[in-house]
Amino acid sequence: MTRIWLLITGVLAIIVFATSLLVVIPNTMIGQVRAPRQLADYTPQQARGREVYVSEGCVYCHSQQVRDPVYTSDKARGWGPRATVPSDYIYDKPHQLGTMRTGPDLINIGVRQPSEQWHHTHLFNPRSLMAWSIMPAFPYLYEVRDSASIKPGEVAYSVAGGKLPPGKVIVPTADAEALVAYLKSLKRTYPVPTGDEPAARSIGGRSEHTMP
Amino acid sequence: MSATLLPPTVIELASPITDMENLDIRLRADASSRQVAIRAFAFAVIWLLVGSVFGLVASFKLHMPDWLVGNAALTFGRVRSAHLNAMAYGWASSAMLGVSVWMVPRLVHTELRVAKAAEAGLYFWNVGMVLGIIGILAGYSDGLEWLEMPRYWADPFFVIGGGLVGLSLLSTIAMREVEHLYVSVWYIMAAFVWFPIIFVIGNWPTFSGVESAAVNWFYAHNALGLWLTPVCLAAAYYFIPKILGRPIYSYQLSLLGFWTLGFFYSLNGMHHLIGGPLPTWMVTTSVVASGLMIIPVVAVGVNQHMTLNRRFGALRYSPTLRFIVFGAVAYTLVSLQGVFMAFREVNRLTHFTHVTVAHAHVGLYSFVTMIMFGSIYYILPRLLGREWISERLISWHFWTVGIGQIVYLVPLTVAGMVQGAAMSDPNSTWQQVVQAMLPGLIGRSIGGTLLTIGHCVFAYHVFLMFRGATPRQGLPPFHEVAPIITRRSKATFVPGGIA
Amino acid sequence: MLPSSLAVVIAITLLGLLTVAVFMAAWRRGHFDRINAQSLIPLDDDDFSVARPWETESQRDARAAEHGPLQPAVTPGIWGGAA
Repeated sequence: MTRIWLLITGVLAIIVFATSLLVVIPNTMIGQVRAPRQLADYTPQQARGREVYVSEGCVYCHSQQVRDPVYTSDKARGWGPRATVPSDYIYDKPHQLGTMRTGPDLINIGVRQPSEQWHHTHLFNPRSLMAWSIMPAFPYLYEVRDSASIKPGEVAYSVAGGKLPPGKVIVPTADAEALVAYLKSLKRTYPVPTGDEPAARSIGGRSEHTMP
Repeated sequence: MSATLLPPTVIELASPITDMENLDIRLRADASSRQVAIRAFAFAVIWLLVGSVFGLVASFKLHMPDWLVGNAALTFGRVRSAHLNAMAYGWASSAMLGVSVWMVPRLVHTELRVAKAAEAGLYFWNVGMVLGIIGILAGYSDGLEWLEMPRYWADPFFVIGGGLVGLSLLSTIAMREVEHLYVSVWYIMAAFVWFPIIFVIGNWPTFSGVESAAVNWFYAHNALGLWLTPVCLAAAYYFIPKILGRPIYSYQLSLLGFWTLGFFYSLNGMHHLIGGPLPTWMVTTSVVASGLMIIPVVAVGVNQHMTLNRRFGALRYSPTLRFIVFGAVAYTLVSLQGVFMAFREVNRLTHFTHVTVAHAHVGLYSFVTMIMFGSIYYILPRLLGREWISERLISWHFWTVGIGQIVYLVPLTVAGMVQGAAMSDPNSTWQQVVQAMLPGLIGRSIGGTLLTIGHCVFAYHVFLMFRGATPRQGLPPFHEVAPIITRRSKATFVPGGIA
Repeated sequence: MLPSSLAVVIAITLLGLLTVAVFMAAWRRGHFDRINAQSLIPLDDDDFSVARPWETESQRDARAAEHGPLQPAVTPGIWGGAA
């Protein structure tokens, strides 16, 4: 090759082609995905909780997607009644789909585990509930105080499994409350029409929940 | 001049004029890139050590989860990201910047142009690294794998820094004194054109939802295929022929390999999201493109194997070649592994498991890192004007990281496979899944510790080189096995300086 | 913007044909002539003419036949940049 510009043109053409195919074209199609009626945007507290989720790096062990039940066991494992679809993630910025399952999938954790007490004691130290867990502990999201110092109306939890000295309880920080609020909001179980249903066929065989 | 330095058994020499020209070209090229390349390698080694510490901490935390949990800065999710970024953008990329600025002047037979810009670019890059790592540990991650460093106050340094180095390389190529551009120059130039484009796209802040995921993995896979891979292939294409003293087997194959690599690799990204909530056509495009990667991978593999054919004995003599060939073979293996893992039937079991993590390390360690080690072992003596101090240190380095990789990769892959098998059985509990992976995670920590020891050996040796220590025996290393470069090529080196 | 797959297929085919056209133009203008000469760029004369200890007799003879008498690899006692 003798001409550097020829090389650079070819190199640019490659990346323009790939970007067109995998970024630009999908971008034009994503506009057709509508927010589902049954899915509300995150409240400010839930949004803050999502920031904490991102900041602590939860995505490196937990995914947030249920794969097609035809060829995986995600649904059989109880992670969701259906595969997740693009409209499920319409309020997620950035996505936290994940590529690793050291821990279980979380997209429907709000359905599986609605108890705030469970979440807080689990986050404080997972081994207080499951001795075999390898999830990190997040004690810095909590204040440890004497149970006697808890005023009425204050939320506090005791922790089992010998992870807290007797007479002590944990009081969640605002970030811990937010994180649990976010986890509890993770429910994507409402039905979505697939391309085969009559409702979808009437709009040209496509579901407004998916991309063409 | 030559006759006085060579033993009297030499009958005749190659044309002295051509030799002096060639020698002069090499010396001029090396002198022009010396400042930048040396600093790039110094930064690279520092990030290698920093990244190794982060990696060890993260690895140990997986089987000692209550270790160092008091502070958010050390939580697994942040330390793991810090490890990835320190290694990919700190160690590998700094080393690659150094290799690029050294290799291009040599291949276009002229001095590095605007070298001050390249040097400034290197500093910008490393400022970005420091800010980025602090950002991750302080909790300001952007939340996207491979793109964690804060996009507004760390990432611009990489765009500017990489751009300045690219400008310097482009200027050098524009002033070339060769008629043709060697394949390594194509790979390096392409990498410097591709990287800023994909980096900006990947960090673009307007994407959300599944689109954010598609753009994320469009970037992340292209960081591997269009940034890390090309520069490392450039190094392999240079050093293998150079040390063997014979040209690459088939230049046509290298043409084919280059263009098919760019064209197919750039479409692979969605294979990280197989089974996920993306339109099927996008995922299928990436699966097909992943399968088609066989073409460039086989092209490169055949080319390098046939060049080495019947000369594998060279590996006993040249440490550079040992590391580079290790890396080149690993490239073929990791790519074939990747092709395999992109097929849905396999991906069903490997997705979300440690198999992916192990695969990533075959690519980033066995391929990228080993090639960078080999490159530094070749380049640094020529820039510092002195030989490596100790053959034994190189040997220890090679064997510790060689064995370390096996101890790392085999248990982790097995852990991933049992994890995948357990996950795909809906009747298994999560406790069973976790307990199945635990032995492999401990194995990985042992492997990682061995790798870190190897890195310390290497860093120590590099430090001795910089300090100007003289070889202990007063003889060059490998004297038992007769080094291959003639004295005449170093005729003008005097202690402490280069002509 | 692109509602149907047909439009996508046509667009991609045109892009692909453009690529072929560029390749053909480069070929016509001689960018792929003397291709093997390019593979010699990194190699200097003394890269060729140094005898390598791992080469067999026949490999060494072939090298000498093509590049002239071989110089020995550096003898012990002289610094030689072994890597």
